[in-house]
Amino acid sequence: MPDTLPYPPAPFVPAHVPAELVQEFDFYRNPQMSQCPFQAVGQLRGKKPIFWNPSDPQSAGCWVLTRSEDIRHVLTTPEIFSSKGEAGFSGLIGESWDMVPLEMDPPEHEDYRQLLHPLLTPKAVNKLAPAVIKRAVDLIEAVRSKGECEFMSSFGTPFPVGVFMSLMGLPESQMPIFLEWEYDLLHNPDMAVKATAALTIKNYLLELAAERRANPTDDLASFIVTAQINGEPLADDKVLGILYLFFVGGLDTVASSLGFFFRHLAEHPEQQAELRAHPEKIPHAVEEMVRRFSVVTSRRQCKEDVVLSGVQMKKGDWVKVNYALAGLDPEAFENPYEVNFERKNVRHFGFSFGPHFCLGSHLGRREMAIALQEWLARVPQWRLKPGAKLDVHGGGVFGIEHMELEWDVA
Amino acid sequence: MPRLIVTPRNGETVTVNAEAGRSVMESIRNAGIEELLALCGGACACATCHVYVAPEWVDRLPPRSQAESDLLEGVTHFTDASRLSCQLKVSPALDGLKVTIAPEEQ
Repeated sequence: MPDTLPYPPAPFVPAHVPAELVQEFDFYRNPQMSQCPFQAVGQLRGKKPIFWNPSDPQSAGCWVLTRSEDIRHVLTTPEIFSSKGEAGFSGLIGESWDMVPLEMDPPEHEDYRQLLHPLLTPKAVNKLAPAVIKRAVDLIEAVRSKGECEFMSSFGTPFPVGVFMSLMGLPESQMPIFLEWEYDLLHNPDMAVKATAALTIKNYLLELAAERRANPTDDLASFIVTAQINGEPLADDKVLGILYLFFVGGLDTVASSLGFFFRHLAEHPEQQAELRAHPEKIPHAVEEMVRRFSVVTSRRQCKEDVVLSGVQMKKGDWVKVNYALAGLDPEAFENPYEVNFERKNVRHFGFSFGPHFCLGSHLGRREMAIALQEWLARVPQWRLKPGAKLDVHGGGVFGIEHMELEWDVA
Repeated sequence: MPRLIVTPRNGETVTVNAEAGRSVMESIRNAGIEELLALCGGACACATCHVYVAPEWVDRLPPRSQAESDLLEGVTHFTDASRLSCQLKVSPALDGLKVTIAPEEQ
């Protein structure tokens, strides 16, 4: 049971793992993670394309893949590499419901995917765009004349989280408390704190579901509680699973990505100037930066014994899939650490790959493009404030906690 | 082996050998035309394998599924000839299919 795992977990190496494939790596607390998680994971590449990490807070050891080819294979072979229990939040509280459809495998996965698919298509996102732009502009205008801001709390977080909360029909006044739960669930390495957050969020979402069942509106939460598949209403655990996935997926990933994008542009004034002069390049630049700064780590569990690129895995083994490693593989991308707005074939992993490709990718990508467009149009060259603290973290979703930007005010 | 007539964004049309049973998307990418991003790998989720089929082919192809239409109708460069190439399966009936890769999404 994950909730009984101490931290750091007792190292575990099963009998079928050869000693030469064992390598320790702490995705949460490796000191280099707080400098640059992307450089930190990059050092895993090389000697052992697939290795066994004996200490992982999510399971008693796990395989780690470093090559994009292996990662693509695992993500597109759900009949062997299952998503069941992938995020494991229900396991944290001794339960076994799935986040839907993230922790389901085909074919069951397909019905739920089809149900949710129309909600976040490009067409649906086009309708949201004016409100998304207004939200970005309001947040920028609140800091523009000050010549500086702490980016994450002024914009990086409230922008996408506000968009998501309005879409779900959640009260924005509760944003700070949601963010606290979210932080504990995704970033707190203390498993007891994580479990408490997992339970708190579950209880909140159950209340939300009950409330929307009684008083449905036009928001996403109401859609989910009143939805049907094959003429049947969704089971209670499926409703919870969908709400949970939207909650977790909607609050953190875009904010984390924006943190890294804005840091990169602060440190590369020539590229910032290029996008300011050529806003038409922004959509492709977003794609390239999603590749360069893929923030999510996922995992799969072997449903049977399998040999992957010469490595024997056993039924029940967990396989960690770090999208940053996949997007920074020199076999797949030339000079992978370079951000190149002209790069062709930016076939990254930032939204995963295969049947579980991010359901919210169209919204996420649009939010990132709008954030860049509005900042570049309204704020002159921004830079990191010299001497100010910069808090970066690894973990299940790489991110930035604190980053102070400054710019000249006329 | 069915052949596809593919026009990439540079306008220089090429003929691509396609394997029956695979998707048009895979056939185009396997021919080295990687600007057709197909970011999701063929899951009808990302809309980055958008192509235009030649007018004479529009009615000769199986119609779009609801999911394919839902995705395509909101993309910037949508036309009646728009298809997601991951949703088109190569068969002898598609021999000579002409497709043009749609511009990148804005």
